[in-house]
Amino acid sequence: MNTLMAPGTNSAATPDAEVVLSIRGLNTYYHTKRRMVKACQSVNLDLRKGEVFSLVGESACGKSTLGMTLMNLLPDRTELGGEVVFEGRNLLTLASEELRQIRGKKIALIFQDPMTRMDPLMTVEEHFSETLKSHEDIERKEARRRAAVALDAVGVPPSRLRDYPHQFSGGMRQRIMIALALVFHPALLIADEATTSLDVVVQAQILRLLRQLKDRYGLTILNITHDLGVVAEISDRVAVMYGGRVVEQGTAEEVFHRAAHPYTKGLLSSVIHMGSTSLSWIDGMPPDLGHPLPGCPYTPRCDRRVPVCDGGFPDERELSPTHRFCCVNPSGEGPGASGGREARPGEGRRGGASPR
Amino acid sequence: MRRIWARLKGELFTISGLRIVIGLIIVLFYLLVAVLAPALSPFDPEKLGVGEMLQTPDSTYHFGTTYLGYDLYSRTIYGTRTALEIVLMATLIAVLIGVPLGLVSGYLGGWLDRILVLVMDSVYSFPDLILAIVIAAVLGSGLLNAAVAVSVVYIPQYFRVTRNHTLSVREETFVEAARALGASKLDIIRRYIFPNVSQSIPVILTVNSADAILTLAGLSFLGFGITPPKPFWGLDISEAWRYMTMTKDYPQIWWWTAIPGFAIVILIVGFTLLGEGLNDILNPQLRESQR
Repeated sequence: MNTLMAPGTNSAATPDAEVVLSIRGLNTYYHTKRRMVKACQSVNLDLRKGEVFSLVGESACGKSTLGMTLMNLLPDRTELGGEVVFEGRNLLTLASEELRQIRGKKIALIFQDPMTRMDPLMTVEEHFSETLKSHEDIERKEARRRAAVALDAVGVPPSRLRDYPHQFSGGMRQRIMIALALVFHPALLIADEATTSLDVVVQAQILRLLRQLKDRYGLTILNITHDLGVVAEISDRVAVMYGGRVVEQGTAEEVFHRAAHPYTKGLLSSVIHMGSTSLSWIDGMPPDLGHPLPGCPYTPRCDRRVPVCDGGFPDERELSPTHRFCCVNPSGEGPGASGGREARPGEGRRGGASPR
Repeated sequence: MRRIWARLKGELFTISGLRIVIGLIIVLFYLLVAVLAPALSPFDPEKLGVGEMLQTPDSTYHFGTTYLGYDLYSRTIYGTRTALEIVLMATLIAVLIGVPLGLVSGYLGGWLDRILVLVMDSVYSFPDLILAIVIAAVLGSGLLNAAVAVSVVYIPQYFRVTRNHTLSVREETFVEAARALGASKLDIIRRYIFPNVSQSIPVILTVNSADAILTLAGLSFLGFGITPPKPFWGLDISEAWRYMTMTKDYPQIWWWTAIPGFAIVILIVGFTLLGEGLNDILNPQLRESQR
């Protein structure tokens, strides 16, 4: 995925569609022995039916934590605040048994490394029957039939139901994981770096598959990734996370072409373009979420910082009904105006957060 | 099972393969003797005075007789039955209690885990035989009671091995994936963790069986658990020893201690060989490091 495809060409974003999942003022704080890590802070997002919503950001910005928070798959001592409303219920306060019934059936999650996400001692069929049985009383034959249908939908021949995970390639396994996740036709699919460990060709196949399945089942997809190519490929809307906060969100077109936040700009300009001879990056390291700054977390790395930035996290500003960002001194119009720094090929990298 | 056989076929003539085969032959031989005991023994092992007292081994009394005129040959054969019965019961009890507790403790963690670990470690820190004696003394004699007394000694071993293995399997990403698909805690323990942990159980099982026989023999030698006239090797040795210390004519009645003693030693060797061999084959990491 070396080049950015034209964003905004995906199925039209439908701003009026029904909200499937609503996140309001979400805080996720990890408590470790010595300190507290604020992995997500005051996150507000709405996922609408039938859209692909991408959450972008570099490593350690809290985006995976957000995905795990929605399923409440976090360590026991994690402190959660705010609310996540799904089908009229706040997922953060549900009893664990109610939550279990939602996991896999109404909201499903697929992960980054399909190679280790399947039990090596269980056949594909057993994976399906276990998943089916944890939500429904189902007979062996019926389970097999539904597994075959689900596998067929993702392009894995049902004749391979009796095979073990080690007999499949990474791409095939990811397909199987997707089939497992979609076996109940959930309303929401969270894809946490689902294509990251796959090679480019397989990545493209999986993305195409996800899009097809989305249209067929009316899925909503929350796509968590650091790969802007993937974002451009499938997203309707995009949110950019930095330091545990959503710093900018809008339609894919708005974020890619009219980015307002300096971090978004920096991120976009660090993408390697086909045929370019220079590399660009953002100086510095992602912030330590265990020691959050009082102001905007991007301040130390920002080339547009002004004294107010240290005072407090900026309020959200609206550019259009769909496009919002949090910055007191936003960049001007036009892509790549500022934000990233240029380097000549021979110069090497100096401790930059490298774009991937 | 198929996996074990496949590995075994390839390694039949290596050291661990040979160990398994020899161990298996010995254990199977004892099993056969235990099953066929009524057909093999010429006399009732619990009947007094089937021969003169203290007969030397000959064609009628193959292993000689005791001073009460018991036929030692029949007693040794029936002793196999007693030994295997109790060991089987004891290991079964230990597995059925130790493994589930280890799984739950390892997977759930928290205060339950702490309490169980504390209890199991306290039990484990007792010397085997003393613990077994205490329990046997409380429970009284009888086959089942002897089995319980022996099993308590081994529960902590199954518990610890299962718990520690569970701790590492619990962190595998496929467990998280199963949780994300809505598997309940019970299902995760039963269907995802147990099969991945179960491979270490046969090894401790066979090694423990060897140990259990020794504990059982010790127990009965000291007069706990199994009581006369029940045929058991440890009991015979104990009686012989008491007789010898009273009469001081031990060189003349060697058979009374030597034969039950050999029966114990050979069975223990069999179980140990089997256990060590299985360990080599089921635990490839260990195998690598030994080469």
